[in-house]
Amino acid sequence: MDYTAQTNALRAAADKLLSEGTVDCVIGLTPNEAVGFPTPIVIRNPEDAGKLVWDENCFTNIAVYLLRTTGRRAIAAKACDVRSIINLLAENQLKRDEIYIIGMQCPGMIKDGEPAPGCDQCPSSVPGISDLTIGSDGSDTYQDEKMEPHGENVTEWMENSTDAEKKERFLKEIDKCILCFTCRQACPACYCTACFIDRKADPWRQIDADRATKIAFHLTRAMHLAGRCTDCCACEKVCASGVNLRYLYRGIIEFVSDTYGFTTGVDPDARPVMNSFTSEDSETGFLGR
Amino acid sequence: MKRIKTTKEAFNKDLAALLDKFDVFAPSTKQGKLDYLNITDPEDITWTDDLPYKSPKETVFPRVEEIMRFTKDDVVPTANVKPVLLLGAKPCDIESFDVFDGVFTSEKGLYIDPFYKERRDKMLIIGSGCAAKKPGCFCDERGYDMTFSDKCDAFVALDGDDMYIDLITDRAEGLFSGSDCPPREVNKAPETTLKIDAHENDIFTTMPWEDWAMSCIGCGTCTYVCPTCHCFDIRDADDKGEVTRCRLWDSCMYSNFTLHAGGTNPRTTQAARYRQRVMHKYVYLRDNIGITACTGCGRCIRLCPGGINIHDTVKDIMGRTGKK
Ligand code: SF4
Ligand code: SF4
Ligand code: SF4
Ligand code: SF4
Repeated sequence: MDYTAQTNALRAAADKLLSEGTVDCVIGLTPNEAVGFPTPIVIRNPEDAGKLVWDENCFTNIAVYLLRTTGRRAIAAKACDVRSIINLLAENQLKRDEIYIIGMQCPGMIKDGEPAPGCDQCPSSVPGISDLTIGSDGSDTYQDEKMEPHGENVTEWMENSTDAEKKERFLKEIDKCILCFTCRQACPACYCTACFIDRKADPWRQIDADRATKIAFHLTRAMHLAGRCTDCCACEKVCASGVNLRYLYRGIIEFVSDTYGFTTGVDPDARPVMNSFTSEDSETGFLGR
Repeated sequence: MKRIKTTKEAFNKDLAALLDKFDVFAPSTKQGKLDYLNITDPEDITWTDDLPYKSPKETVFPRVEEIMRFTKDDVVPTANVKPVLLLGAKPCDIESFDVFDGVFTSEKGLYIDPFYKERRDKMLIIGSGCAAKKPGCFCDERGYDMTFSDKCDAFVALDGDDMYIDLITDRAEGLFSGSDCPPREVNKAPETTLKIDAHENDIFTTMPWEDWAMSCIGCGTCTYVCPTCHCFDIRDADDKGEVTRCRLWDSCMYSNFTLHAGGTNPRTTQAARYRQRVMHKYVYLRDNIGITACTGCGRCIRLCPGGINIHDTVKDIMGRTGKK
């Protein structure tokens, strides 16, 4: 891979799109020394194209900014951002003709010196849909790129763990949570304007009930994301407390896949799985398999 | 200021003896990320130059704090608060208690918060210094010496297996054993170069708040990890006739912050919310309690998913209002 070539191609594309008036803004990432990895930027002038960057630390999912901007927007999107975009298209939250996808090939990103959450099990380095292709060598074709597996494979862990072990793991993760709701804010699928948790009238009690509230928040959020979570791991990547949310969401994804044979973020024209009903549907659900 | 020398082992022993009397909070990686954790074994302390990812404010300002419990007829007494010993607090974090004291126990008599005051009065702080600035840190520009602060009861420095303890207040006397040694040389604090002198009206509508807050997703991480953010909400929970009244953290970055019962909200955009965060720290509290409520710890910068940088915003404001 050649990040310099990719960056140059991205800058040239942004410059062209803005100069020719194809789009009103370009959403991308810009170097940020204080933070140590590129952070989101929205540029509106061709002169600012040079602020965009593409490197091995571009793990932030920026699809969420499509919901926070209006007009015709271009976005420098890697495969996971595009999965989020596809889900948003399928859910009628975006108009395809307003979005210009600059498809960035991504061999997996690095966060804190290690593969970023989820990157080791990413299904593909190539964005599912795009209007412009920037391959990993900076050219306009996607290369043949293999993703390297790394660390504990959450899917295998799930398969080999008992329910009690899964529960224990979940509680261990949740204990770190400070209920800041950053995971929700960063999730491109969490776009409700009135979130259930903001109506928090739950029994707030000291310490142990605090845990109950965390459980209520995380399990309800997970329920709401069944068939909608694209395994982008935006939530885990932004969690300041290091909560490994993937142990929860991977389970939801497997469940939806096993039960309905549906993978989220693949086909923008597919009906969202929770919105479709057939008499053949398995009735497994809330009560488990 | 007296200084004593002891060993880490002896220090841990003395500390273990204090565990009965105090809830001891100290930097630890026991849960993964370095954080000020309530420890039950001195071995769990992580001695490192790094800054815990979130501030120690929870020790006196818990995330959820029961402030009252009552039934239809009676007020049910709540349990006594166990004193906190905060160990290994960095100089910037020690400074933050000045802000909390100013807001919650103002000497001007504006408002005394009994819940905070009780915890704070009982609290013991043992600081420890920084050898190096981390990316995003700017305590020096805020006028604080990263190596030392005397706004605590004692200050420790670990050197291999040796431990040096500066005894600052009377409350620290006798807690730890050790032999006398020459006192510490205290550096002169750097000059404060990052502050806003302008008035609210000069900044409120004239700054490009929309641009600055463009990439903010309203997640509130900045306020939850910040040592000086102290906004709270109060909620009642009814459990079979017994009501618990709790105070919980709030955040100006949430969309439902200051949401009125009628459904209106004076701050409707994320830009207005970000403006509140900057102004509250650098203008309003400066005017109200005489302290700029930012210690320069850099946590909000390092952990912001949107790359929002309060240091750069304040610098920009200084430039635009005529102060470089
Ligand atoms: S971002 Fe992390 S700490 Fe915040 S609510 Fe989500 S899991 Fe909890
Ligand atoms: S729940 Fe997490 S992994 Fe799933 S779509 Fe949302 S941010 Fe991505
Ligand atoms: S400034 Fe950053 S950390 Fe704070 S709410 Fe906005 S995005 Fe979150
Ligand atoms: S505003 Fe940011 S830098 Fe200032 S004290 Fe709070 S977290 Fe630290």
